[in-house]
Amino acid sequence: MPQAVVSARALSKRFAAKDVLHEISVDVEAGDIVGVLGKNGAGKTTLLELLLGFSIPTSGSAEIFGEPSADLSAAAKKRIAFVPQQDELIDLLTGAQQLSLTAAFYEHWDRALIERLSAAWEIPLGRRIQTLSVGERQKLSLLLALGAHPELLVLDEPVASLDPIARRQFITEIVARARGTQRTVLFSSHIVSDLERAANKVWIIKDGRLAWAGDLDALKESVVRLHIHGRRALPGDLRVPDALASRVEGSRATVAAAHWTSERAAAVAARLDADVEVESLALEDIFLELHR
Amino acid sequence: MKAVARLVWTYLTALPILRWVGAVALASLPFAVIGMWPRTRGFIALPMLAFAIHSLSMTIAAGYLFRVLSSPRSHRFLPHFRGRSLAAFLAIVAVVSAPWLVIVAWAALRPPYAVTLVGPLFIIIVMVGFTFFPVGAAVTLVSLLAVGWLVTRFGLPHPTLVEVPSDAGPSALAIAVFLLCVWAAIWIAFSIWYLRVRRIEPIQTPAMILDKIGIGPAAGSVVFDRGRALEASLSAAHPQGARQRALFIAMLVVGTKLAVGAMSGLHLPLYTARVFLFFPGLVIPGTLLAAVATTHARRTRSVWLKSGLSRRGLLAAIEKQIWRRAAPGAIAVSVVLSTGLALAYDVAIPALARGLASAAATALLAVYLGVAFVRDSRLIELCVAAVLVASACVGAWSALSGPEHIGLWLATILSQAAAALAFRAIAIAQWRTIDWLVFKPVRIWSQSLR
Repeated sequence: MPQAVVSARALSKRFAAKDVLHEISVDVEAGDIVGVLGKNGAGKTTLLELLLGFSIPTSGSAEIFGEPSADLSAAAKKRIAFVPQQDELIDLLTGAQQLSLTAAFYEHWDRALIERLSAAWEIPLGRRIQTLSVGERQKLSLLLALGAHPELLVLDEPVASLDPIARRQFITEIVARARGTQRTVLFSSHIVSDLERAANKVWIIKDGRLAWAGDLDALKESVVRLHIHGRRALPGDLRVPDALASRVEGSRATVAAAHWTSERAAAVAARLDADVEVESLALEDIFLELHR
Repeated sequence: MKAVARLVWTYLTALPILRWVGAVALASLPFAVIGMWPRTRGFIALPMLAFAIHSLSMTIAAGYLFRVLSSPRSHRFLPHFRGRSLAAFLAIVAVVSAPWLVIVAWAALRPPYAVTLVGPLFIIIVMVGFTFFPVGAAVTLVSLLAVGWLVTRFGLPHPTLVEVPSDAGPSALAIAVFLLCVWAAIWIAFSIWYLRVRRIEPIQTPAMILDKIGIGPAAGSVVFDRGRALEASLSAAHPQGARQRALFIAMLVVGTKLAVGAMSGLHLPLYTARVFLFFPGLVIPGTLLAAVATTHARRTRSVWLKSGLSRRGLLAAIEKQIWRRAAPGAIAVSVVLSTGLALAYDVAIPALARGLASAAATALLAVYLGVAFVRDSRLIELCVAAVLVASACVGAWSALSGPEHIGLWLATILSQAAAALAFRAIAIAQWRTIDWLVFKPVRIWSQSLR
């Protein structure tokens, strides 16, 4: 089995009296594009930054390229790029100067890619960063991360301030890079449609716990909405296995359930003496159901 | 009310440098009390200076932050922001001014002091003027300084601020009342302007203003090597700031010269000169290095991955950078200001040398206090600042107090050096587990107000 690019075992983080992350165990393999979903304050940023060694876990462990995240070697760090939620650009520099500064940290810097993307994304590199809009700053931050040709690209809310065209361009770029060169991307986003378009794996964080980690397709097959039509009034507690949320009104009920299989549908129909109609859900609906 | 209260709190504590200057301001309060004490009432410069430092801390807050947060980019999501922002700012002005107005009323019974004590109330106006109308304020201030210098230079008759003749012209009380009316009128006019102006442009940083007049760092290509890139990332500064540094040094030297000239013209007594020498020359530059060090420490987050350095390596990089850049700068400011003032007032050279040694010891302690505490705790910051400022004040005071206090001076600077070594060891231990999730650069956006 190939070594995981990113690996976490029972990773927990506690700030003061609050458990921000609780026993997260995940693996990311080379070439994966993993989308991290969660409500505000769910723990997405904490998870990404723990994985990258910005913070020390309260318990558990995190590794990147087989090295402990908090003690990464220089060689391992050179294979990683990170775009934080709040950019770390230097206001007094121009965009071009910031690119030159960042390039100085890396032995291999893809100038051709930078030129192509800065033109395509219309980044005004000649202007001082303090005069750039929030969206332009975000594009520049993304450009800085891509220029180093990282094997692992970690992005925390990378497209929150971009317009739909820039978002689409960016998603296309990272998908093409990951698929063509087996590079790994880990990104959090609130924009579920972007995540659905780019990611092949999804982690859903709910209240600091991992509600789902796995293939996006498997998630979509697994989480369904059941429309139950009983032949008589249904009980208040339907006892549907792995139910996420349910609403019962007389002889009708709607239930969102995870880990769904056709065998389970048959069993529920027989037990409740009802017809069960299974509805597939889009990722956004799944996310909402998981958070009801 | 809650929103206004939160704004006030933000204005006072949003930036590390604010909290540090605030600590200096608190530490200066006892000197104000000393100045008001019946047996030492003649030391009127002490409360003046204490108030000036208070005003400085409050107005960096209320001036700079007020200005930053007044631009639409910062507050566009917040309803009724203008009114609340103005209310919070005026509350700070009131907090700073109210006790002072009481003192002015008290001093009104002692004519020589009344006018002197009104003067510092205008410091906030000057600060706000510089943040909202930088060019106009600069022109006004330079004009006033130039007039003051000309008056002094050519020995023209002028009213002395300390000793207003009670039998010539309007009484000191009348002048004080007039100045207070001017002060109030300026605030009313500013409030009306603030509430009515259509758009307040984003703040022009000094770099942008210098850029406009062609003194800013070059916007063309800059070649970075790894060392320069790390240095620029940690200080968040332009690597080609030589012209700005040269301008700053020129302004410092000229400003010191003008200030010394103006003070000579005012015939301020020696103890007053010592007070000016004490705070701006020997205490503040070194103390502020702690804020610089902690800001550098926070910015290491941005190079954790890029630099390839370990946590310990990043601490070493900060140490190297501060001792190569920021600390020599702070010590140079101390030397220029202190020497200028000392020469103007015939402060004995040994006393000056002791004072500068004290400033250097304060700088040493400040650097390691600044990097030792990597928790985002304002209580810790306050304690650290209190220790630092107290030691700096004792050191500078004993240095300037004459040969009888050499023992205390020596003990203080040796203690500062020993404490610096201890805090360096604490820093090395703390940096093994530095957590950049919480210890990260301070950003001032609208979310800090929510």
